[in-house]
Order: sequence, then C-alpha cells, then structure tokens
Amino acid sequence: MFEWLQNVDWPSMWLSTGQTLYMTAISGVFTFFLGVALGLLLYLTAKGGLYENQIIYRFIASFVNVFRSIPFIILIILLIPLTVIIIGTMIGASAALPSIIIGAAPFYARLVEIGLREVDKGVIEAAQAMGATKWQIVWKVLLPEALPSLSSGMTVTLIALIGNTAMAGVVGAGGLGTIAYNEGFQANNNTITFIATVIILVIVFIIQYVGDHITRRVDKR
Amino acid sequence: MRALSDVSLAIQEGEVFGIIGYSGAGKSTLIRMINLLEKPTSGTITIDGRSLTDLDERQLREERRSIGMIFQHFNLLWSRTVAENIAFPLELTKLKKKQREDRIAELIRMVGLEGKESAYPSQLSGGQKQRVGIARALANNPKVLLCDEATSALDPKTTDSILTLLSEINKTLGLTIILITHEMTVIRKICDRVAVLDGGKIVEQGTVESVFSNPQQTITQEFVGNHTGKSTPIQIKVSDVIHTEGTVISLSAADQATFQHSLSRLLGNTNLSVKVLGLAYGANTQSEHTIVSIQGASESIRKAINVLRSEGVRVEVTKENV
Repeated sequence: MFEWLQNVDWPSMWLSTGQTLYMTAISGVFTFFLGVALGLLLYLTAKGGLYENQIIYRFIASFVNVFRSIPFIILIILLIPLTVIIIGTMIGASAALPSIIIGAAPFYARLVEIGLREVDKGVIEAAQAMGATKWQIVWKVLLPEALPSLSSGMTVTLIALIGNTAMAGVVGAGGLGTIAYNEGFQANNNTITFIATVIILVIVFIIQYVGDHITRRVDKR
Repeated sequence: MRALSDVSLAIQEGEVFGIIGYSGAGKSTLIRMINLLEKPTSGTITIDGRSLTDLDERQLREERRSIGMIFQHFNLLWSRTVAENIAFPLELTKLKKKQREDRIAELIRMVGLEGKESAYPSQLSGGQKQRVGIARALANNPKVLLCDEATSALDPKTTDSILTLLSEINKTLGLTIILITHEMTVIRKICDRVAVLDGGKIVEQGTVESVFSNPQQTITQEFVGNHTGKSTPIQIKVSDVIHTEGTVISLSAADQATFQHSLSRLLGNTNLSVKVLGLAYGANTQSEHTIVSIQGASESIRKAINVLRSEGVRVEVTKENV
C-alpha cells in the first residue's frame, strides 16, 4: 500500500525539512526584532506620537512600503549583491536569509504599528500622569499592552515567510522548495512534490496552532 | 480655538474642590492642565509653592509623581493584574522590592480589594476597576488627587461607594482632591467648594452651600435643578440651623399630597410662628427634607409635631428650642 513512498529519498527529504526550519527560525527571529523596531519607530514618529518626527516617519514609511511591494522572487534577485556582501555566497539556506528577512520585516512592521495604535491612549496618558519617561512608556505600557497583536501578527508573518523560503528554494536556497522543484517537478516525481507539500502544511499548521495558543495566553482583555 | 481663558482658581490644602460644567465646557482641559498633560498657552500652575509651568521635562516628571490622577475609563493596563497595576507607579521610583510589596498590600487594603490581587482588570466590575485606579493614584503618596469624571461611567450605587471612599481618603490622609464632573450629586456629596465652568470660563465659585443656595448664573441654577429662573430650593447645612431661632424640624413624607396638606395646616396654626427655611437633601437627591422653624409655647410645638406624625409625616427635630 505504501510502495509509492519507496520512491522518496527520505534522508534528503529530512535534510530539506531541516533547511526549511532553519531558514524559518533564523529569519523569524530577525524579522521579529527588526519588525518590532521598525513598527515602534513608525508608531512613535507618526503624527501625534511620542517622538513625532515627519522626516523619520516618511523615510521609514517609504522604506517599508517599497520592500513590502516588491514581489519576493524579484526581491531575491535584486538583493543578490547585498547577500554576497553579507553571507559571502548567493547559494544555500544562509544566502536566502537576507532577502527573506528584508521581505518579511516591513510586512511585520506594519502589523506591529497597527497593534500599537490599538493601545488605549488613556493608558498612555495615565502613565504620563504618573511621571513615566517615554522609554518607560514603550517598555512598560506599549509593548506589553500590544503583545497579543504582536503575537498574532508574528503568526501571520511566519506563515507568509515559509512561503518565501519555498520560493527561495527554487533559486538555490535549499529546503523543501528546492526538493519539490528539482527532484519533484523537474524529475517528474510527483510523490516528492506531494510529500514536500504535506511537510510544509504540517509546519504551517503547527505554527498557526502554537501562535494562536500564545496569543490567547497573553490576551487578558 | 480657546478651550479656557481667564481661569483663576486657588485650591486650599486638604479640601475637596469640585469643578462642574457641561461637556464641552473645558473641564477636561482644565483638570489636565493641573498636571500639565495639557500645556497652557499662558499663565501659571503652582502646587505647594512650586510653579509647574517653569519646570523642565525631567522635573515635571518628578513633580507628577506627587499628583495622583484617576480617570472616567479607569485607564488600567489590562495586561497587568490588580497588584501589578498598583505596582506601576512604584516601579517608576527607586523603591526596594520588599517595600514595594508592602505598599501594594497596604493600598489594596485601603481601597478594599483584598483577595483580588491577582485578578486582571477584565475580571473586575467598574467600581472595582476604579478602586484599582485610586490605589494606583495614591501609591506614591501624592499631595493632590485629580479626578477626571471618575464616577461618570459608574451606576449610582457604585458612584456612591467610590465617593465615600474618596471622602474617607480625603479625611484620613488629608489629601487635597480636585474633581471635575457634570453630576450635581457628586458635588453635593463630597465637595467643600465648587466652581462652575461654562464656555471655558469660571462663572461662579465658592462654598458648595453658598453657590447652590444662591446661584447667580442661569447655568448654576440649571445644575441645582431649576431652570425656570424662579427662586431655587435652598440647601441648608445643619450647622446653619444652629443659629436659627426657635425649634427647627426637618419634614419629609413619601406621599406628596398628604405632605402638602399637613404643611399648610402647620403654617396656618395661629398658636405658632412657623417659617419654612428651605430644602435639604440626603445622600441621594430623592430624599428631600423641608426644614421649618417653629416659635411658640413648647407645649403647642409638641402638639403640632404629634399631629404631623399622626398624619404620616416623618419629623426629625433638628434643634430644640431653649
């Protein structure tokens, strides 16, 4: 019944899964910190923000908008020179990281900004009335109060990011995208493509489940 | 646009000062100016001899720690428990952990929230949330407490319990309280002095009794509950009654018709000299007492009181004739 599974080179399938997880984890961590930083900057420098600054806001906003708009497959190609400078090569899982991060962080930054905007202005005012510094407001009010939004936003971003790792796979990043394209599609071995798809789905479901769980846990509203 | 102009208020240490006005009158702006959440274009704000308007940002933050504030919508951090919310202002100062915990326990006792320490605001009622707000505002032993429509989101019964708590705090800690409201009951219940704000200007101010026993402005008359422009019911404090001649009694009845009948009979009693002094209100405005002074032979007075009681009128002798 399971003979068709004999056609699958399992060691290389698991290796590819490992590469996909590696790309997702590393770029996820960077995307999180970069996204929170950019989102905070957008929120704080926006009109009426704690550090209102039109010039910085416009600069970051246009950076975010540009990189959010470029189709990922084109972004990878555009970022080849940068990748070579940072990683030293344009092939392999590590080489995919800069473009995955630069593709995902601006997206997450916008979600962070939206989440921060939802924080009750009254609570910020209360903190100011108590004599909190702007920095204390960021750490003790804004980020903790926006945590459910940061968490649900990160879940969405991570799932989008897995899609990007697969796309990066087609241009030589390795991972499940590479195996599905090279050994599945090009070698006309549909079983491989199918298995790679199932593994990606499982990863997505796990991330969605864990993300939802964390979001519920931190949401005390 | 000018939200406020020519506002001059001197608030005494230890008093409860109320500012009443309709929405849009500038109340919120005014109370926010006291801790400079709202910056005045000109003028000064001085608390305890320190001019807040001359402070730099760091000094202002220090000074704000001695000005507590509570809000209409409580403005608690929903991501923190009751104890953690109260801890917030203490975290901003350099208090040791042990002292912080002792202080939190003390504040929780003070506002009557024992057992709710680890509850989240979403699990509390409005009144309980405001108690957390009060505890948080008192954490750093402020000199002044600002109340921004603190009871406007609460039902009458809860409003009453919060006002009682504020009144207790004012008495036990000698804390100066400045509150803004659009509700007369709040002013009546806890304020010593009141200012009426209309169109960004203070139109009337003074002790609660003087302002409301003799309201000069139409808006003040409206707040007192009579906007026909005719004479308004007089609010009497028991202390004023002491200086009135004769026996002073306070009358009230559930049934208005019998009450009026009895009252007119009393006024028509030729053996006595009867004078209506005015109206007094209990904790809720529904209980209205008519204050009457009677002069005459003590035997006739006693008889008249007995007649009133037999007719179903509640009679309280506030002061016996001597």
